[in-house]
Amino acid sequence: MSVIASAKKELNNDAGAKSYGQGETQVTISNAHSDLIHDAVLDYYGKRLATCSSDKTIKIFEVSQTGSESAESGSDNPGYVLLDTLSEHNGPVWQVDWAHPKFGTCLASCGYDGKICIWKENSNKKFELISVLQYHTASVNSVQWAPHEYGPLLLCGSSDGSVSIVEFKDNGIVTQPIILEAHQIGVNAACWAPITFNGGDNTSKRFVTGGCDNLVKIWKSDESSPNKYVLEHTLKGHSDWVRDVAWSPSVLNKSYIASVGQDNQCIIWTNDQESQSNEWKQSFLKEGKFEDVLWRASWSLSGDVLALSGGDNRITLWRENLQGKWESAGEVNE
Amino acid sequence: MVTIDTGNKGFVGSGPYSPTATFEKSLALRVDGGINAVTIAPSGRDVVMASKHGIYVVDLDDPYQPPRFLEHQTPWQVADVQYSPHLQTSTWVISTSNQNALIWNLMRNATNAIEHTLHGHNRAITDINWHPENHNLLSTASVDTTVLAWDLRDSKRPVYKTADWRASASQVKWNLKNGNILASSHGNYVSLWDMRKGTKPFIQLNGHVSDVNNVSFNPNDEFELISSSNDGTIKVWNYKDDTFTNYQKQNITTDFPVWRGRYLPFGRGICAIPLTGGSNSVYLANNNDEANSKLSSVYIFKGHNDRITDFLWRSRHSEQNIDDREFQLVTWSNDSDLRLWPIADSVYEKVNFTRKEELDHQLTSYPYKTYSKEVKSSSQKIDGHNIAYKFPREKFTTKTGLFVKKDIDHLSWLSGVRVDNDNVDNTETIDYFDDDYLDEEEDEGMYRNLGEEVAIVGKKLHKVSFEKISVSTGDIVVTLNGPWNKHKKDKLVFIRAIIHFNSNYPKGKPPSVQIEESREISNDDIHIMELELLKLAQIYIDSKQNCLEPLLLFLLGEKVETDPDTIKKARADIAEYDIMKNLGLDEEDIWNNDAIENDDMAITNDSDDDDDDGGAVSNENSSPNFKKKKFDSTPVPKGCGAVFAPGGQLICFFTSSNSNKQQQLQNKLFNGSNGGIRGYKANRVEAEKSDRDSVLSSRFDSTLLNETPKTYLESLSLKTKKEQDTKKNSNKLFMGMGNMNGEDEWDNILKNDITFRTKISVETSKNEHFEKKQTNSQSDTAVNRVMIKDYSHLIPDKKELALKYKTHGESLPLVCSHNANVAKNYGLADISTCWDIIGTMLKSRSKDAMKHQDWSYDYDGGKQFLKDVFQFFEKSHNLQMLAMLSCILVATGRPENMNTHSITPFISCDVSFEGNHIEKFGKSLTHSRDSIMRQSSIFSQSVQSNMNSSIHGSMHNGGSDQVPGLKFDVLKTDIFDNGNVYYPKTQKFVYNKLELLDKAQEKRCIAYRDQYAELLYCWGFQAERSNIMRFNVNENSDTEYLKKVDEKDMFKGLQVVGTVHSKLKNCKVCEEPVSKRSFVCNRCGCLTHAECAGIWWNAALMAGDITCPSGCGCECLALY
Repeated sequence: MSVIASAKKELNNDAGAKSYGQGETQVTISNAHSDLIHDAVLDYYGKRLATCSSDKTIKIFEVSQTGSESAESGSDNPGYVLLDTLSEHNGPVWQVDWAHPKFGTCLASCGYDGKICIWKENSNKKFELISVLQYHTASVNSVQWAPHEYGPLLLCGSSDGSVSIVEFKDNGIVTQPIILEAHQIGVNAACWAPITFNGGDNTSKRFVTGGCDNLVKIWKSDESSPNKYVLEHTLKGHSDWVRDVAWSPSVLNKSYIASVGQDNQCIIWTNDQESQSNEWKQSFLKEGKFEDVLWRASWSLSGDVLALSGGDNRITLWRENLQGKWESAGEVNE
Repeated sequence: MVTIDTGNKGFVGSGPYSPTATFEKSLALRVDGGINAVTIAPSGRDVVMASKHGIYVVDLDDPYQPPRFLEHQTPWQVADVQYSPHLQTSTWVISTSNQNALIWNLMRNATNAIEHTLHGHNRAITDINWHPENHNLLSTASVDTTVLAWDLRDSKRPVYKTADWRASASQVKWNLKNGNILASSHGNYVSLWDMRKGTKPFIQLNGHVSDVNNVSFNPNDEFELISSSNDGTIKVWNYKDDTFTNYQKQNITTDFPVWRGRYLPFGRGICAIPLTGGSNSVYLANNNDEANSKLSSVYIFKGHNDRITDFLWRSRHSEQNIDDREFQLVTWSNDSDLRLWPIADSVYEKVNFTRKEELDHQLTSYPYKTYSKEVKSSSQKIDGHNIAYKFPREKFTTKTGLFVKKDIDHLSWLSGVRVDNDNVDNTETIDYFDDDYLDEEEDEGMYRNLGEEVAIVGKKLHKVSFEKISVSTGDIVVTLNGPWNKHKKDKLVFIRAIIHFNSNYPKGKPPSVQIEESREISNDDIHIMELELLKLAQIYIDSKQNCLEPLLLFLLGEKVETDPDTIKKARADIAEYDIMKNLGLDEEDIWNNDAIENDDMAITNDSDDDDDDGGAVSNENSSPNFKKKKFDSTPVPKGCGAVFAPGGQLICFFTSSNSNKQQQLQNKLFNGSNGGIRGYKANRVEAEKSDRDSVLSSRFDSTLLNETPKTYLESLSLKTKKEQDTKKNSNKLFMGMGNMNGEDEWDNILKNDITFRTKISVETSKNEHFEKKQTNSQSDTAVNRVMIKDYSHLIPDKKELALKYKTHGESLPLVCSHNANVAKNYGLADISTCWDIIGTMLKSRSKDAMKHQDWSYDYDGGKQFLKDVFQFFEKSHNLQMLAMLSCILVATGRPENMNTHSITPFISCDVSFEGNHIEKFGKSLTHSRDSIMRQSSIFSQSVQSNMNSSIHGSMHNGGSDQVPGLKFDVLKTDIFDNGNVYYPKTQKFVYNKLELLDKAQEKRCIAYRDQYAELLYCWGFQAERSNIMRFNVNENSDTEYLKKVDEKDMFKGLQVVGTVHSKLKNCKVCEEPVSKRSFVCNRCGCLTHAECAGIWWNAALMAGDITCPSGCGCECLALY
């Protein structure tokens, strides 16, 4: 008991004394890849970091949980250990995504070679390739696992203009992918709706896509036939290619979608959950344009902070104030 | 491969044009190297392409031959190049070089090919035009606003000079019927000059609202001309008399800014290409003579992937008096493809071109001869035996007297040639280069033609040198070293083999291979080898497969597949080839191949050079199903990004500042090269407003602000281009052009290549040094960086709070004040205050329940307050608070009337609880017994008394206060009492209504709890998660929800990878702390190692007893 109590106390003291890290850097990994990095994702528990790059590889790092741990152990401990380097792709790897832990420690990756790879961690902390899918006819730009309630469903967007949904049964067996022609010239991003999103009918699965036709489109599953998805909304707002779309994972009284594009703009689409209209309203994140093209948008898990990054190598954070205006919450320093 | 298809189109017989094998075919030639202008010989055989490096002469009838290259290195982009249309000077080509014009005579040797240099302008020349009748006359237009006419009999000075003074001249054209009239376009208007009438325009054609890009005289009407403009219109002017206001006869609108609009050389019609948009197509339109009309295109040539910069007409005819001309469209586009498009008969009809009409004048017949071979070498016959075949290897003396040698790699050139055998198609829009051919020709060879095969095989087999490649005749000469020495197997023998393919290859007869006599192999052996090769070829030909590769492999002494079935299967390479093409990486820039070889070593294909370029994409990959896409829309890679992790960390990755600079440079480069297109819209507005003087540059300036490449390929090509340019710079020689006073006008206009804007340094060594330094610095600095940053301070949901918050306790007000203190400890004043207020409210309520005195007891007031609180936290996105409130403010449990039979009953909770915990805590703490007793008494109380007090009160009878050191929440860890105060005997839940939250809000509350539970799950707080989840069954739950909710679902057990929090707990089986994979039963809350759980449950199942290891009697397994 005393052990438990003291442990608890320790946690008390620790936490009490420590003010929140104001954007402090916990881990820095330099030159892990020999070329540009295109994505870096932490898993559910913040233990595994997956990075992917133009050097055609994916690297998996084990990250120590807190900054204080690495501080205690001195400068020798960089706070991370390289677990594995995965090379299966023949071209740049664009994106990686961790599956929900209930499916095991699984990673999905996609790349310029049109492949979608699924990796699973084995007992030696190495990653095994359990599945390679190749049905897209051009670069696959985006890959994302569905909310875990839907099961191991993977959503992929490709430059061949289509998005695909593929389900993994046990042991990497894959169902016939559902392929939808989504954006004419190419799909640059695709993102699932959170399961809590209420679009009138709560049972439909939804996702949002952004593409080279400057459009953002919202799709929903047609409950009448299990493998059918239909276009629900087409959102016009961007004047150039849409590079990323992100559906806020938390739905409070509103649901948010952020879309960023080659037109140097970020559009926030909101859907009022209290009204039953299921309409998406458009608003620009900020008046005037950003200085450079925007590449990436990412919501924090509770949907209150939006991180944007773009061609000028800058990362900005945004938060909605009580008046519903978006204001800057800082910029990340390199 | 190239067959002559006579009789198909019929009317043009073999005649002098019999070798025009490519006339009825569509053809694409990939030519890298920054070609900016093209022109076609009047005979229609040769095409001359001009770039900064010089001019290239390509024989369209044998596109497989590498072009002849006449080097003329300049830092300036070539604005225009024109073949002389006259018989007398049909080998003359004029090209611009900034403010000078160079007249080349292709009949001459490369060293002295320049006949004249026209030097009269002060700034860059924009357009040149040969006089339609007099072969000695030509005119030039320049940025310096002047228009000059030249007589080549005295090329030192112009014979006519005029100037607009205001706007630079973009085009100049001779009237085709009246040799004294010149038209030139300046800014938004066109000026007409009469050489006999001085230097004032006799007519000025006004009407365009934006820059005029092109003027073209009607070949049939002396007084008619068309002009095309950025304002998206083509205007037809007639200046014969005053019939038309402002001479404007017609106004034809288009959907795009028109770059070139010209009269067709046949029939009555107009051909136009867009400056931007218009899907990069050529539009052939009928002229319907209406005053205002839309461009009525009768035919669209679609297929280029980038803007078309110019189009030409290739024609042939057999008779001089009867108009039986036949045409082929030649286009050059920024996508580096030269394309030839056959014209369908229907097209001629649509533009009212009736063939075989008698002509009143004779058509000129030009000698159908090519000058694509170096003149000197053509006199030396290659007899195929003694002289190693050489590609044209010019030495061109620049004016500083330095030699630059250039090689054009034949194999690379071949790989850029694509011929489509399909003849004219009649569909409206044709893409001859649709790459579906792969599917169509399923049973035929892997390659579309011999040229392609040689190109690919040649690249694959580095050890084979191609001495001669003549695709049109099907002759290939290779040299290689093979293990053919009878005595010493390991010694390689030099072999020279002549392979001849027949025209039907890969069908018909197998190719013949002739191996040259050699000292090292006996003639008999050669004979045997030849027979073997013939056999091998026959096998492949029988299964309609290409056989060059197996033949060469055989000669190299390697194993060759001879089983026909496997041969058919092994077709992977074509796909690979296509991928490479798709990536744009395999296309070595043959023009910029700077590897200067020794003259002595001049065996053509020193293939060591060309295999290191494609490095960025591996050569060995093959993805058979990867069908080539026409336009690769893969966007530019993201080099920088930020992704939130569930725990509030932000994972950031950057490019290093160094490479960022490069990126910016690349962006700039790209802006320049493609600026004119992107900025069209902006320009259109601007151009309308802007003053005439500034028009020319405005188009480009407006685009420089913020454009970046969109696609991956664009960025790649930039990268390589830049690399090449850097490379180039270091080797660059200073070019002392006669008069350097002009700036680089064409770069200002075209911005085609930023690196050439500044003058090139004289000292080569300095540049090399610079380059070295650059590479060094690159290796030093970080290429990229990934950082994990803690941004949890921005996120209102805190892990620490989640651990400390209570959802229930002795009484609700106490819970609230506890939570208020927790929040205070973390410096969250507003949240702390909020808890306090709610606490006070609840306190007053419970205390004065009977008296109805307190403000907060007023139901409506209290509810309104809570509503506001909810709204506030919704706005501030504080999910944690929302979820906590929606937990605390409701009473959990199922309503009594709810039938709960479906739930697996517990088996005597209280007893087993006690047993377990006495054991555990009795050792360490003396008064724990009390608390255990108390705890079990809670249960017995609730079981026995079925009392009305609130759950929260009944749960902990002040236990936490009385037992120091044993905070109740440690013991309970929100698990032991997982909320359902369950009365086993009557199977009823007991709860007391709080009625604080609106029932209608329950749906939202569930959403909050679910989302918060998900968050807790991500943080690894299993116990907290299930604690929150259980609140989903509460006083406000509607019956439907309760029916739907299956306890299994709600408390689903999860296998968990180790978390921070769980280290505080011990396994119920082995009593060791659980830190890694654990198993939590969400009903009874028992925690076990995953391994232990496995052992336990296996044993339990064997024994037929599936109760929980904690001894609580819960049948955890029944849940799963």
